[in-house]
Order: sequence, then C-alpha cells, then structure tokens
Amino acid sequence: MSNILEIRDLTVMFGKSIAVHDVNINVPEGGIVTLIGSNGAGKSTTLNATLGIVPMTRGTISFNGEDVTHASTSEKVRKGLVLAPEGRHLFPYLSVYKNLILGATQRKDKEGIQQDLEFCFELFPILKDRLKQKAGTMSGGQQQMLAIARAMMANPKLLCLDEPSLGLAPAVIEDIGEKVREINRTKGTSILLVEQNVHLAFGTASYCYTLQVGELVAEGTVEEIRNNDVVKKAYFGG
Amino acid sequence: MQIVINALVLGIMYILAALGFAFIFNMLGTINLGHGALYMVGAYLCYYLCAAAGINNWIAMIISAAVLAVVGLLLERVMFRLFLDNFDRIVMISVGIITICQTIANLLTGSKALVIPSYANGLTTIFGMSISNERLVTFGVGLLLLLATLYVVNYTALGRQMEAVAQDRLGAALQGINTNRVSAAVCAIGVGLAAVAGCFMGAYLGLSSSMGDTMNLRILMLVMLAGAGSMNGIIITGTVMGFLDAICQMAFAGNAGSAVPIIIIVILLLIKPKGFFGHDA
Ligand SMILES: Nc1ncnc2c1ncn2[C@@H]1O[C@H](COP(=O)(O)OP(=O)(O)O)[C@@H](O)[C@H]1O
Ligand SMILES: [Mg+2]
Repeated sequence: MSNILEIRDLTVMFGKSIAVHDVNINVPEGGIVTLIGSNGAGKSTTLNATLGIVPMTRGTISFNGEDVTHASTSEKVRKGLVLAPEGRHLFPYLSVYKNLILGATQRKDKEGIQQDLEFCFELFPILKDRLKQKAGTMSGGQQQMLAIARAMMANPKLLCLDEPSLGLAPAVIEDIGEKVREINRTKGTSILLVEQNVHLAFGTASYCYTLQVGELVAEGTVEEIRNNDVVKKAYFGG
Repeated sequence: MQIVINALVLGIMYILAALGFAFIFNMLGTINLGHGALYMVGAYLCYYLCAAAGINNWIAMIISAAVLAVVGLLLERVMFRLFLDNFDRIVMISVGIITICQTIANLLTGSKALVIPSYANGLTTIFGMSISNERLVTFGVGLLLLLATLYVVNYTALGRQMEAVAQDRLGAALQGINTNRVSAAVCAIGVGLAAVAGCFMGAYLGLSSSMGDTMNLRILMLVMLAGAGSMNGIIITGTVMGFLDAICQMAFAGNAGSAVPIIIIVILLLIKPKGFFGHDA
C-alpha cells in the first residue's frame, strides 16, 4: 500500500530552540494514524510545519506521491492536505453555513461542494439545525464538529486533526472518535490524528507514533504501543 | 431641511473614508494612522489633474482613486505585511508618511484657497425644495459606493474571505485562503474609497493640508463609536456624526462648531468605551 503522506527528517526550530527534531511519519492511503505525546512535545508544530503554517528548518514533505515541501498552504489544501487545527480556529462571528462554505474556498466543483455539505449534515445533523447560528455561540463539542466538518468541505485526501478532544466531555470525545472513524470508513479519507488523550487515539487509529520533547521515541501498531514500556511510563504512570 | 441634506452628504463621506480604515483595523489588527493623509493626497491629486493637466474632474477622481488604490497595495506590501506584529514601527512609518504628505501639501497650497471644480452645477427642486446638484451627486455616488462595498462584504467570495481573515487569520490560511492577497485587496479598496471621499470633499469644502487631520479625527471617533468589527455600526454612526457636524456648524459659530461634536462623542465613548455596535459591545 502506498503512503498518502510521508514526512522525512522534519526539523523545526523557533529561534535557537528545537521544537521538532528529525521526525519521520508515514500515513498509508486510507489509514488512520495517530501521533501522541504530552504537552509541548511538538505535535502541533509537526502538523503546522506539514501544512506550511510554521516554517520548517529541514526535511521534506511528500503528499500523494508528490514533493510538496515548498508548496504554499493554499496549494496543499487544494491538493487535499487539510488540517483542523488545535483550538479549532473557527470564524466566530460568521454563521455555521459560512464557516462550512469557507472550508471549500479552494474548490470550484459546485456539485461536489453541495454533496459534501449533505455529507456533513448527515455526519453532524446538529449543524443543519444551526446553519444560521454564529459559530462562536455554539458549545465546545458543536464547535469541534463544525471544525471537522469545515475541514471535510475541502474534500481532503488526508484529514489532519490536532487534539479534537481538547476541553470536551468524555461522552462528546467518544462521539468525535466515532465520527472520525465514520469519515474514514465512508469516504476513504486518510486520517492523521494528533492527541494527548490516548484513549481516543488508541480507540481510533491503527498505527501510532509517540513524540517526546521533539523526538520520536516509539512507533508501532496500537497494540504494540499499548504495551511499550516507554509509553506506559509516560502515560499510565508505570 | 438643508441641514438634513448637508448631514447626509457629510455622513456618507465620513463613512466612505472610515470604511477603509475600519477594514484595515479589523483585518490587520492595526491602525492606519496615515489614512487621513491618503485621503488628502487623493484630493490634491484630483485637483492638480484638473487644474494643471486640464482633465475632466470625474476622470481625475477615477485616476486619483486608482492611484491611491495602488498606494494601498504598496502599503500592505512594504509596511503592514512586514510589521504585522510591530505596532510601534507601523506608527512611526505612518507619522513619517503623514509629515511628508502634509509638508508637500503645504508647499503646494501656500495661502491659496484651492477648490476642486464642481462635479455638477445648478439646482434641482425636490418636494418644493431646491438642492444643489453638487450635493445630490456627492450623496448619490457615495451611497452607490457604500452599497457596492456592502454587497462585496456580504455576498461575494472576497467578502467572505475578508471576514474570515479578520476573525481568524490562521483559520483563514488553513482554508487555503491567501491571507496576504486578501489583505492587499482590502488595503487597495479602502485607500481608494478614502481618495474618492477626498475628491468630493475637496470640491465641497476645498483643499487644505490639514484636511487629513480633520478627517482622521472623524474616522477614529467613528470607528471607536461603532466598535470593532461592525460594518452596520460604521454606517449608523457615520450618519449620526454627519448630523452632529452639520447641526453644530449651524448652531455654533466658529471653532465651537467643530468642538461640540467631538465633546459629545467623547461623552458617548465614556458611557460605552467599547462602542455601540461591535462584537464585544
Ligand atoms: N510559535 C512558536 N514560537 C516559539 N516556540 C514555539 C512556537 N510554537 C511552539 N513552540 C514551542 O515548541 C514546542 C512544541 O510545541 P507544540 O508543537 O505546540 O507541542 P504540542 O502540540 O505537542 O503540545 C514547545 O516547547 C513550544 O513552546
Ligand atoms: Mg498542540
């Protein structure tokens, strides 16, 4: 199976401090991969550099068999590399509908946009009921759903999610995990899920990378990582 | 009744000049102190195109607006984009620009009273009241530009992208929006509109090197009164300020005519420091 995303030797420095060092990540086409690690490990930086939101110091990104290391964020989004960022970054004073339509900024296929809108409504029926509501006035869980739906409006081949569980109640987190699997199953969208919530990460993904202070320390199938001593120590206190 | 006409004309000119300032404020989170100076440059350019080059004043207005739109583009490229996080530097550059523009204007004007030739002559009688065509045309074109701007903001892709960039720049970039290009478009439109206001006001009140300061004061107060991020607020407060100015200039002689509206606005701001229509109001 070929990889939709290959991150090679990614290094990101902020001034003199190294946030991410020589990180290598593969996401197989149609797969769900998770990247876990504690606060400040460099997870967000890895995603942001992949999208071109922060400059990379070294490394290459290849997407869908194509070198996109020097492509702009717009180009990456157009090619189907899409990120729902940490903290959601919705447009709080715009309606749910306008938020969704803005997700399709790079697309011209009116019919496809309409179909994806329908898909988002099926996935998150609440959004259809709230179309006119301002995004900022919804609950945290609803906002996260909107963030994922907005990203889906770009018709991604790879959907990167940065801590969708942040600040949500356990029941809502469960629901989000279910929806992510549903996206993967019904649309075949590959997923790169960044999480601190290992329960959600392990429940959703099949392959796992573990980041610690900017370096990958363990990778493997979810089963392998569950039983990995380094990870156990970091996450389960023993 | 003449007061109402004057108020509407002034109000719509304030709104046109303030729109660009408010756009830049919302979008780039920075204050374009030079906005009034650019408004003045628009007026002077129009005057000299008419007086020195003998160009029809409507065409001169269009050229002036286009030239200043390009200036807006350049400002975005060489100032706002580079110093987005450095407010102090933007203020210093702006003050430099203002000083240069005003000095040149002073040298050009001297003690002469320059006025842009009238855009329309004669009077029209509406409801038994005679109104100068100049006012009518100024109001009409101003209203048209305002409506066009509202249409762009509310119903076009560019407008949606403008709002997106203003509300969450990173979020906008992640939708594939080229945030720099949107900012540049907004600067061009905003400064171009200010130039149009300058061209009309240069015919209505005449040119002076301090006309930019006067307008800057209006713009600042207008945007503060309206509150951050509110388009409708700008239109309402712009109209109210037009009325205040027109009425006070009738009611109070001399400088009191310009001081009283400012005092009223300061009091309003004390009552509601975040403005009346903004997101956080
Ligand atoms: N824009 C930035 N400027 C400077 N340092 C940053 C910036 N973003 C992140 N960092 C630093 O990089 C490291 C990794 O941060 P981050 O990628 O956000 O971690 P995580 O997402 O795993 O919590 C942290 O030490 C953080 O302080
Ligand atoms: Mg993070």
